[in-house]
Amino acid sequence: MSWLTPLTGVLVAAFVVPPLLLLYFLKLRRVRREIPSTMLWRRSVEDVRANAPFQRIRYSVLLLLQLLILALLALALAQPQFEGTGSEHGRTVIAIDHSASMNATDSPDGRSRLELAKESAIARVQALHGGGIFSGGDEQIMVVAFADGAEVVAPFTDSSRQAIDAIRSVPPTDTRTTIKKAIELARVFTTSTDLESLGELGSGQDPAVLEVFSDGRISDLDEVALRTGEQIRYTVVGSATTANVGITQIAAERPWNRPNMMQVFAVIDNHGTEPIEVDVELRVDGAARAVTPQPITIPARTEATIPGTTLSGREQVVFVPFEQPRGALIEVRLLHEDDLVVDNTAQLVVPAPRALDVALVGEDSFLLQSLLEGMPLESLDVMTPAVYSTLIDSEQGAWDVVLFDGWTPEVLPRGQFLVFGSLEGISELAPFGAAERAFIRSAKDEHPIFRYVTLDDLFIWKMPKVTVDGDVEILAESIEGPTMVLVKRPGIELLWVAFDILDSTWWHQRSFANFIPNAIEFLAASGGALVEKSLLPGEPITMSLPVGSRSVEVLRPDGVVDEGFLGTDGRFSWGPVLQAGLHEVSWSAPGASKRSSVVVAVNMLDGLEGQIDSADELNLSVERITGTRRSRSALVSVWPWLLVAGLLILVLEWYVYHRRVG
Amino acid sequence: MNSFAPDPPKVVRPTRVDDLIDSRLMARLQRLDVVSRKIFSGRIQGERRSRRRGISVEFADFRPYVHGDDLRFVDWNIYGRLDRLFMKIFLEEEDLSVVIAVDTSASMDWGTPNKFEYARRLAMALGYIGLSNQNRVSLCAFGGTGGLQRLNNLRGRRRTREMGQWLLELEHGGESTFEETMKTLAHSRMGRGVMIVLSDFMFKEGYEAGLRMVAGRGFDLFVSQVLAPEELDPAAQGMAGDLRLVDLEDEAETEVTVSQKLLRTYKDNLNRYCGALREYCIRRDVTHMLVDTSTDLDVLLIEYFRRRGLLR
Repeated sequence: MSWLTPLTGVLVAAFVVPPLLLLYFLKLRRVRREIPSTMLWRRSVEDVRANAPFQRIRYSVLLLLQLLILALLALALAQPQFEGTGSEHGRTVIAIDHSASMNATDSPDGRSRLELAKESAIARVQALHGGGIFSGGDEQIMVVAFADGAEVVAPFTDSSRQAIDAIRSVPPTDTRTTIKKAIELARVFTTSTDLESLGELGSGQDPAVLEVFSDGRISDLDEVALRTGEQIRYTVVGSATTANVGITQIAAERPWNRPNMMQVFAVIDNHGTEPIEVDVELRVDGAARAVTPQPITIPARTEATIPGTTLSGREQVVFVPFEQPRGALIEVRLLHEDDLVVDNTAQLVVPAPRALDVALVGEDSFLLQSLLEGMPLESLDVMTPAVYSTLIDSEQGAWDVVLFDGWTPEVLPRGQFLVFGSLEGISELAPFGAAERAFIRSAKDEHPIFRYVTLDDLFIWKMPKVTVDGDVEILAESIEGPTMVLVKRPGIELLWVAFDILDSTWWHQRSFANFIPNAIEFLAASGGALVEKSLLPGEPITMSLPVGSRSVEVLRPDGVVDEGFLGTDGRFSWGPVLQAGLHEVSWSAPGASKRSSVVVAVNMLDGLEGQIDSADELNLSVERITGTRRSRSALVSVWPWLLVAGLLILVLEWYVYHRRVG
Repeated sequence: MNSFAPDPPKVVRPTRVDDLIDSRLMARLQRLDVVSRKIFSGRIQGERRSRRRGISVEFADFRPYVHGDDLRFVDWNIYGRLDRLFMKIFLEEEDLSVVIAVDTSASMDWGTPNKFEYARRLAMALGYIGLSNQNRVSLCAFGGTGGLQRLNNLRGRRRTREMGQWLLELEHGGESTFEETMKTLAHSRMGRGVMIVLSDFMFKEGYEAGLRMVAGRGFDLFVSQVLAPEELDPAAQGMAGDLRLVDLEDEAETEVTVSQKLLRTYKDNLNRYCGALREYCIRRDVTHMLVDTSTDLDVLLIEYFRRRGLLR
């Protein structure tokens, strides 16, 4: 324990205790009163003393209590501090989690975790700066807000006011939580320019301590490793037993053969330890369309095979298809109240139905062509690779989906593609040989492209062996490796089928006839042709606007209007989006009298973020950081408690006196 | 830390005999008489039967004549019948000696109503009753600064003013000298009779030795313990806080913090003290009467003292 202002306490004790003793004795100067005889009184006093063996002690109790009060006051004025509560190094990075889970209002007073975290962080700053009335510290404090990314809210400063203002300015977001970027950011600001010690946090100066104020629901903890000298202190915010139910997936689709109909799917996760019943409501354009006929029971979460992890209970909801010939705002809402509101609603913007424009590029692709011709497409352009290569720049964006049969361009343009038997231009797939006689071992049967599709009878004569890298999703896997892979790049979505149709038994199976429409529908939906894709918080809004458009504005759900970046080629970007909800992008197109607009839905569909029971430990890749639920500053501010104790003893002293006298 | 010790109101001292006893009370007291439970021999013939046989109308007994007997009391009839000299013996009617002893020590000059003033008026009333009934009234005051003050052998109502004036001029204050006073009274030739002691009996040296002096010496002793309401119930009179109590007689100091417990203990001790005095008196055929100075004098004399057998 250290003393912030010991001299003050000593001086106060020196100047106040003797007068108290004097006052005590002055107080004992009694009122003189003459009586006929003191005989009986003296005898009575002796009797009282004789019957109360602690009478002498009780007489001094008042003095003792008053001395104790003064001692406490003197101690309070000396402002004791406990070792370890403050930084030992003089530099501290305050990192505040402002992700979606920090909006949970599970505190008894209904305040959000972010508010509590800010309060703790401010108390910590005050503690680091002395926390007292009579002195201040010279601690260097940096404030970082982290969620999907990380942002320096205040660089290193020795001004507690600046740090506190920065903490107060951290806004709530609906994004997921990652901490890696925050740590890297802290390293950037604390790493010395001394090349010999480069890479160590705070080396060259006093090392900095990273103090994290979070609920511990961080997705990338296993990617974080501390370097030598780095320290993390973790202050836990929020209850460890908070249950939450949230929508983790939402989808709406128009069956390709009934484009006026719409079907809505949702997946609801229960992150709590008890099963829960919820009613689910479907709203279309703000009006209730359907409610589940009876509450849906969502099972409780279960322990996963990896120790310390859990699997949330999950239930799928499929609403009866309904007629919706026009575009609509689809909203699925849980009629249930819990501490995290943002995941109780999910929205989708569905455009009006339209037939698809599809291109088929390949040499002699009669099988695919005959299948596509049987589909109700708006247009089907069949061309050779040579023709496509000439159109690749001018007609970019003309087709909703392009099928490549045995050929792909070296550089893929933006768009949605279904590729059979070609690896050209797909850097995520690296060939390492060929395989023969393969069959499908596993497939993600729940994926939309496999609706009414079974791959059990599929036999492949010949296919390349590949390894995958990057943002890919393996949908089907043979004994020889990935066979169907979904590749995602910014602006590009590509469904790769490893083999040529004619090199398999698939072409004469009914599942193939179902697979092609499924895949085209899926890719078109991903491209926003059938259903506008919703964004996750943290992603940017990007879209192509007519060239020459101007004054592009984004109306956020909280009513604030922002301006985004508009390139000369008409590409618009804004973000990252921090709030869930509807964002309206409006612009003035050249020659148009009225402003055009489009609505983008942003949904917090993150299952980990919805799991809002706070974690007591941060399990980094190597270390394990144990958090504390009490603000580290609480120990520092001992003097208010000493004052309170002094007041209580004063009341006790008053009570003792009046009990004796009254 | 509040202490409450109000100064007692200023005592109004009587300046005239009429202040000690008014005519209304005198009229009421004329019907009363001092009662002696014993028959005493007086000095002169009075209104009471005496065990001393002598000249009286009430014949008591005969005894043989011895040389020197008054021949006037020879029963000549018996001499005629029996030829022997017998003396007629009569119960002599004697006067009653009433001794009223008033404590004038400093401890008596306290309380509301003031104990000394109350005792002085009580002595005046009792003395008046005695004078009205042709008793031989003697007064003495003890404990005052003037030492033992005495006024002996008053008889007849016409001595009332003299007695009152003596009471008015009593000096008070100083320490009590109860034992010494009683010893003096016991050995004085005041004749035997009724003795009434008016005091608070707050004697640090004790009351036993003093009472023993007079209790067995032929006096029909009545002890009237005069206490003020403040002594009987200090809490009701607002005694509270941290006090330094100063003894009026010897100025001994006792520091007290008045609490409920202390007040309870004080009352217990007071009751025990008064009870011990009462018991001591009963054992010695002495009548103990506790007098609260807030009691009206009429009520005290006409009801309480009559009930206790001092007056009739």
